[in-house]
Amino acid sequence: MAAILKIRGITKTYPGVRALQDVSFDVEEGTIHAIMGENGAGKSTLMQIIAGAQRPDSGVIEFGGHEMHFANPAQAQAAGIAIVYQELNLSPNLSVAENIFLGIEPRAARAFVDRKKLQEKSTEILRKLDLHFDPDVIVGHMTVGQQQLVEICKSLVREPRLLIFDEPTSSLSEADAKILFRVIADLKARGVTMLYISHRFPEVFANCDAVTVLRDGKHVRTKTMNTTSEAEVVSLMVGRELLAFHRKEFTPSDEVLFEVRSLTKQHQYYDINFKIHRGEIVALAGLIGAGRSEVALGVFGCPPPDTGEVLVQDKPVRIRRARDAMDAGIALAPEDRKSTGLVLGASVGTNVSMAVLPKLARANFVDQRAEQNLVQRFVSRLNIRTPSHEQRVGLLSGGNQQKVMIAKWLAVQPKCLIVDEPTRGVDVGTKAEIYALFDDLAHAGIPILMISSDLPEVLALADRILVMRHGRITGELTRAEATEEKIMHLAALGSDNVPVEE
Amino acid sequence: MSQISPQTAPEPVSPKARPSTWSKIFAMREAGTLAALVLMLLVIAVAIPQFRQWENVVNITRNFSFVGIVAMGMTLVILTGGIDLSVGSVWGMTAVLTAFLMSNGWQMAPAILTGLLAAAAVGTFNGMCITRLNMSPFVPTLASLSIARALALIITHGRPISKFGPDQKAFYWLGGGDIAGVPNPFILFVVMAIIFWVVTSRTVWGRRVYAVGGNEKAARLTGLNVRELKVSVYIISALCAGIAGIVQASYLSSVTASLATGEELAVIAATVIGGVNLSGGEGTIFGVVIGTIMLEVLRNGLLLFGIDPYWQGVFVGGIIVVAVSLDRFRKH
Repeated sequence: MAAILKIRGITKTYPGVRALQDVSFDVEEGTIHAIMGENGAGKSTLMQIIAGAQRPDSGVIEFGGHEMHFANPAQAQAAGIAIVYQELNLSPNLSVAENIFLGIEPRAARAFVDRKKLQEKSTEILRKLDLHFDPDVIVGHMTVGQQQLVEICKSLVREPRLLIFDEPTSSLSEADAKILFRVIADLKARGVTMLYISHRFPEVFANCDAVTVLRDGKHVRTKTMNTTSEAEVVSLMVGRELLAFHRKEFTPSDEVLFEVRSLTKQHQYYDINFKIHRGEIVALAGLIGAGRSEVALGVFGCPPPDTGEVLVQDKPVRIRRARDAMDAGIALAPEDRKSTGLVLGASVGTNVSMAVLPKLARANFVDQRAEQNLVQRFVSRLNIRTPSHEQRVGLLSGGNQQKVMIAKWLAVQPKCLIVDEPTRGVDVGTKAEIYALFDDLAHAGIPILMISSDLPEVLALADRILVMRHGRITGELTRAEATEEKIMHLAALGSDNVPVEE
Repeated sequence: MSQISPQTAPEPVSPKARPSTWSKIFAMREAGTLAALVLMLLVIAVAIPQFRQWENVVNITRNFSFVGIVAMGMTLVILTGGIDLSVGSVWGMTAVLTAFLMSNGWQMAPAILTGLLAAAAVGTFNGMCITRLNMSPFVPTLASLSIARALALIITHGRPISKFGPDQKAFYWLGGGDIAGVPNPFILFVVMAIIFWVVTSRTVWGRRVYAVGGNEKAARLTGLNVRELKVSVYIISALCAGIAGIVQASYLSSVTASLATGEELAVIAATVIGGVNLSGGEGTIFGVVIGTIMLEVLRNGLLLFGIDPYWQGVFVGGIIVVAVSLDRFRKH
């Protein structure tokens, strides 16, 4: 098969950072080609260059046999290259149809939008992908997963020859991800070539034909799927053998340090009960939309539940807002670090000390030295890679940003730590560090409630797994009895009767 | 024991070698604007001897002090990601109210207090609309702009107030007097600038202002009382406007309802030129002081150069665009 895309010697340098260095590889036409690598390896930058959103400093891209020099994304689109970004590019105030055809609206008499055609065409593409969206629904009212699918439709109507997916399933429920894979298989059958960036090994190995591994801006290896394995790819990504994470041998005690009773909030979650013991990590698993983040926010008071009790170290606490939760010793590292977890424009130091600042101050005046010491302690403890404490957090890699957010909440010395998707958008190496950190924290007696959609992570870390579905807890599994299938069953169907294949 | 081998430790974050004072100055955010100001001063001072005269310098410092005082409060508001369009009207309204009370026999202290209370009331109104009714800051402050100005007209019936009652002489000293030759408004501005600088850069509350402007959602999820903080900055902004009004009334020794009309634009210009980001979370009091001075030096310089005063607006507008572009440039 011919190579439809030839990358030759692409180099891109940002001030202080060599994002890409002499990257070269081929992509065969009609294949699904995975691009893997740790955060900061250069994947997104390379994709942006291919899609015309960035210009390389040197190097050539050959597409369909012709050398391409895109000055902007529109040119790349005209050439048949489209990209579905991780951060959605939709206008939340417009409808599904308007978003899909944004910029290429069917016209009537040049200046007017042909509403009828718009409706027809959008219904057509939605039906083609078997999506049951009303084309007139305002995108802002949809869930993130649904928006992702609209974004994909938007790329597809432009009939690309090369379609690039940047972490497409990170916000998708299992059901939506299945739809995506069906669409991808469909496209492949029609001869569309696809580049697929993802951290998720199971789906990459299940769907892709080849994989390119980048590390520190350099091309490491490109192999066809059947000549490699997950272990090999991981070692190529990090340059060393990475074995499965195993927690230290430790049995959680009987002492209940954190408890939730009959927590209920209309339309979000119902009758949530659980306990966390000293030394325990409890995972809250479930599909997107199950209500897990809502429970976490409820416990944190943002907003508080309608009814129910929260007990910290056996004492009931009244939580009406974040301040109450924090005073009770509850810490919450939210799901989206960029929009709700960190102040990206502020420095590492400011972010780390933000929650605990009053303790570092006398009469409202900040004790700069105490603050420096605290920040330094956490930067070294968590191995946060940053040129200085003054560095704007927005400029750090995803993994380091996550560490800054976790550091912020460890600084308050919580009596219970709740983390929502602790390793989303985080590279393999940093993931390992975060897992080890949680292990240590549990040992130190801090109960951890971990919300995660990453099943291998859940299975590796959790002592007990609570599964939610439609706002209720549908089951509880101990580490010994848990399997991915059982969790999925409880999450999707509400029971753990996994049929045994004969 | 986990079988993950930790990645090789990064270079430790060590404190950099002590930078010299000069390199510290060059690295400052405000270096560019400060350099521009110094340049401007040099050019004008060399070209026009009148500029250097003590009387002119005193004039300039007094003039920019009024705008500067209000810019202190405006800076806090803009740092939280908001805007206060009502400061010009509150400035006038407070001046008029205080003058009115004094001309009706009130003593200076209670009159000033009442004036400031009225200003604080407008600030509270602004803050409440924004935090409780979820209005975008533009809306209630635009409304206050109109309401406060109307109140000033109502109080004066369109006539000037030039009598300030029993404490007239003492009142005139506030804005018209000086200490060791330095005009009082300037001293007040300097004192306020120092206080605001200390608060924004060294206190917990000041940090919170930046945090709310940087990412309000994250601030809320960090347990900060965002509502309370926002209401307080609008009250402070209104109080600064009120203070400027009272001091200016004292200096002019006569007030009309049109006092400070349109001054909100000069105040906002001063903060923007000073490097404050209108989307919030970025900017310093020091920068705003430079911006304030620059604005007035420009105005005064143009006048002394003999340029038609009608052209001033063009230069002021131009300098706003240049200042903000240079700031963008510096960042990227």
